[in-house]
Amino acid sequence: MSGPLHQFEIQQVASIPFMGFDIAVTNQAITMLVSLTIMSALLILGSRQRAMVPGRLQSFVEMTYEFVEDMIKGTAGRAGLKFMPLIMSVFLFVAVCNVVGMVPGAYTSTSQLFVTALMAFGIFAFVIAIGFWKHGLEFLGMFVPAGTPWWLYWLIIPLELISFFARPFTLTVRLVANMVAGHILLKIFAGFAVMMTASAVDAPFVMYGGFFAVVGLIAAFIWTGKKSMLWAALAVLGALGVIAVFSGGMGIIATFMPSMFIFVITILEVFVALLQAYIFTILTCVYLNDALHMH
Amino acid sequence: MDGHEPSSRVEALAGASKGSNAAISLIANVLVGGLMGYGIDYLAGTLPLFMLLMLFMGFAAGLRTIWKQLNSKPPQDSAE
Repeated sequence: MSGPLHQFEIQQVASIPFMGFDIAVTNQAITMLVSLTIMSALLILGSRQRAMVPGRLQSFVEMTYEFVEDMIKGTAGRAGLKFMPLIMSVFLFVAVCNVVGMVPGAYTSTSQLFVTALMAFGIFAFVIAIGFWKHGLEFLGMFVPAGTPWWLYWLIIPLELISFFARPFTLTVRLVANMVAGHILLKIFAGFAVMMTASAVDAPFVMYGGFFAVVGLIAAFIWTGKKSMLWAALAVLGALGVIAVFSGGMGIIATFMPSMFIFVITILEVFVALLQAYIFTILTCVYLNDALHMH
Repeated sequence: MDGHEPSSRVEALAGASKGSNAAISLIANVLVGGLMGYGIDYLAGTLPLFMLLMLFMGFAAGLRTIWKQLNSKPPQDSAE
């Protein structure tokens, strides 16, 4: 059985030579394309009919749209609505990639640092560009919060600089760490379940143990009236049978428990997948808000 | 929990996101601070000095970020 990190390995499926470079088609690239297709198909099919009374798909798309709209209004204000296409794409892409990663056997593209780092640093650069475009050089005033006395400038400016440049790193690491941790946990519990099943001889153990336990019980009952060596020996055998039933039962429970954990963690991970997409998006909105309104 | 009903689902999620942010913010700030300090040292040739200074600055910046995240208010819509 492969280790818990095996699922994050990138495997080359095909290679396309292009101007001396090798454009490798990997399992990760394919999953990302699949996510992109799902995301586009969802929006195109959902908004194609434009019914007054929306069908199931259309109302799902409308709900997603309104969810993102609320998110932008709540963090970046109305001025942020201009960036709806960007933020909606970021949200849908991260959410769909995360959820596709939850499909057994599929690759989790957001578990690769490069994917999230590219998005995070792209957003970071975009926010800086918006800031300078909106406010010119006054944007640098963001590093001096309003109401700071001049004799604290030496302290506050480095602090603001550090926390500003830490943003893309937090954005990158949070998403990757959450996805990787969840999937490793799932894989480890799956490994437990397989190991337990392989080592368990539970069913015959419990059956024979049960048989001996019943025989032993009867023997012990007879032994109380008729004290002979034979019945005593059979009673001891019965006690061993009881132990066998218990240990075999424990084995069955031990096989069963990791499976239950996997079930629970899978539900939790789907929630985490959506939550992390939400967090990634809302932080994008917050950073956009800083560039639009400063503080 | 004291009868503090979130008005919408978005608000409830925002609470969860704030909690999830804190630890990673702190670590990233310390590391970025240290990295910036190391950069200054590399250029100025004063190796341990600025790196140590900026590590502590990064710690302070991390705490400040968490403080700001926890106290953040929704923006005024009039500020167009």
